[in-house]
Amino acid sequence: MTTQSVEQRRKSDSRSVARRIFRHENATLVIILAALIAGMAIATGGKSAALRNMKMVLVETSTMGICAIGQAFVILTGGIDLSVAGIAFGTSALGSAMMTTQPFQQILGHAAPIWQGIPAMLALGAGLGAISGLVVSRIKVPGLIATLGVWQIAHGVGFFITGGFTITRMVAPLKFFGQGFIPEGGFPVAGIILIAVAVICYFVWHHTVYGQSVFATGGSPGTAYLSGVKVQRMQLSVYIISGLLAALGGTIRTARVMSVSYSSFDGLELQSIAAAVIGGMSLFGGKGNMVGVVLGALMIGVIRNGMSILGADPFLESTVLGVLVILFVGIDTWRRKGH
Amino acid sequence: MTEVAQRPEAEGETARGIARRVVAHENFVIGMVLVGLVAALGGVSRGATLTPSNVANVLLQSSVRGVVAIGQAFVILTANIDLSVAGVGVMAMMMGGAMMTTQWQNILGYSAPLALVIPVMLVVGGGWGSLNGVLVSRLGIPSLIATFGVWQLGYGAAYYVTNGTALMELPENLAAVGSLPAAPIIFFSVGAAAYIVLNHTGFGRNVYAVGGNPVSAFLSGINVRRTYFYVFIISGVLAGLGGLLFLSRGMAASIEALRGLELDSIAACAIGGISLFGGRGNIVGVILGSIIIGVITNAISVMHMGHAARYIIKGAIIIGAVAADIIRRERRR
Repeated sequence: MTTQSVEQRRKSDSRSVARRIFRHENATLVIILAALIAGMAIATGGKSAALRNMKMVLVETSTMGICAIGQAFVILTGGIDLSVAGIAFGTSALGSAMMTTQPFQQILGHAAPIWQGIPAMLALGAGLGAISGLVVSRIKVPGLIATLGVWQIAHGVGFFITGGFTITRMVAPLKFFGQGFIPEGGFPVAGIILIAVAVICYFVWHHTVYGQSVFATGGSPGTAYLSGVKVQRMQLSVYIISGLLAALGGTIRTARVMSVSYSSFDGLELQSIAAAVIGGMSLFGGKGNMVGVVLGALMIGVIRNGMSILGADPFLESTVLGVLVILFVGIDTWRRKGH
Repeated sequence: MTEVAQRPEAEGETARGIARRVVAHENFVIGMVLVGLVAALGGVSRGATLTPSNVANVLLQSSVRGVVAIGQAFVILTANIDLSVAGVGVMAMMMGGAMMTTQWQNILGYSAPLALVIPVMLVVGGGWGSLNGVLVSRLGIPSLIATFGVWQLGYGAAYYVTNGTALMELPENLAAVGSLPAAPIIFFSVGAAAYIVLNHTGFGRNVYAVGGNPVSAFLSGINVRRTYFYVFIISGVLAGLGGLLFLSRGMAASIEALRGLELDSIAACAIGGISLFGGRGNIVGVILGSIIIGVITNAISVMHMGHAARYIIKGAIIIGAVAADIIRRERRR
């Protein structure tokens, strides 16, 4: 009798644990991601599931994932950042032109070491982000327009620096950030950077006053202002963070392919928005979680990688992304209506 | 008696009154900007921008941008935005081109006549526009994201029509549509039609009302959703028309052809005084705005200033125009 009830309780306990796992906000995403990986492995005859390829997916995803985390900051305040691809190109153009060993492409007259090149890139990214941030927070220009303009300006800066040419032959230590493994042959450095950025930003979102203020700004700017949140400063800061992370993402891709051309970052803004939206960020602001954004980026990375192994053309990729974005925003909108 | 006494006074004021009314007109500033810009660029380039062939070139380029910007204006007047115009335009263009070409890409097996192809292109554009419309008006998806997705879909579909290759060897009678007398005439007649629709029909009033305040528009019995739906169809049809004009001007088209059109069309509206918050602005301003962008883009290429200048100037213009609009609105309050 007693044993039965204990057994029953155990059963119900394990059931409630299972239920809690399935009710978790990211459960659906994890299941979809697992299904995608399995599906792609079957479709490619196991090629996509090979360890070497999984590492490649992580390295390729890190640029998009880091940009998506920056994008998530902006979306959290109810804005949007279309300038991600432009800033990644503009900053990578600066960094590569500083660090290249080809004399006729050097803007400094010598090849700068990475401790000069990378900080310069990050600073330019933050500066370009600050333009959007100031225009949005001070003049109240919609984020869409401000970042559309900054996208063009950053792209123009990149063109100005590179002269429209492809820059190659950067200094060798740069490779470490895109092609390095810790230990040798082990975990990719780019993946570590992505995880580190995600962990730091998770902490910032959920365990700092700043993070709570960003959430409050997105949820209801008026209420946030009345409760003492400096709304303008929050808006400025998220665009700076997004610009900074776009530059970091640009650094990693530059280090991975060791060349920069004006089309290197095409589509990054759509991919980063897609990752954020698939990961559960609400475009109306004030709702979202960091783990979801990283999972969203990984999903897109797995899809892109699988499709390129299958030999699908790049336009099909963007079509799939377009459908996914509309689908996930549609679900979010439908949910908000109270279904 | 009093009437007679007043009449000469009134007549004396009309000349000054007309002048004052011209200066106070909403499009006076932008008109002056256009005139000043043309004069300044003509001077700086030592007349290179003012040669008849170059002026014709500006008009032809502005026609493509202009018809699309007019469609964009309808959408922006309802406080939405249409980022899909380039994707939709390319899709319509590739569809039409693939019906007419004499190359292997022909999807019908014979070169279809122009009278069939032109309506098909406009309908294709309208169809994609209605997809935007359904997503925005029925599902309530923010127009920014809905049209962003449809933009990608349009490019993907265009790719499948042509397999990613450039379309060439189009029938010669197509060239007439995009060349000198026809293209600007189409542009200005579309402008005139849009002016009449916006200012002298019930639908036009609804567009302004919905953009100004959707809730009060709804409460006064306007079908807000249907208005959203229609403006996206209009924008889609005009994007298709833009694709037609582009195709017939160049007589060849690649998938990259209309890249950047969404930015140009939004910028034309912003410069032309269409408020991005909806409900305010007029079509004449949009036409002038499209021509201003055409003049600037053309001058940059005539003076060989390069891609960098083109991107930076365009980015600065779009932010500047919207910021000016917002600052002006705040002053008025």
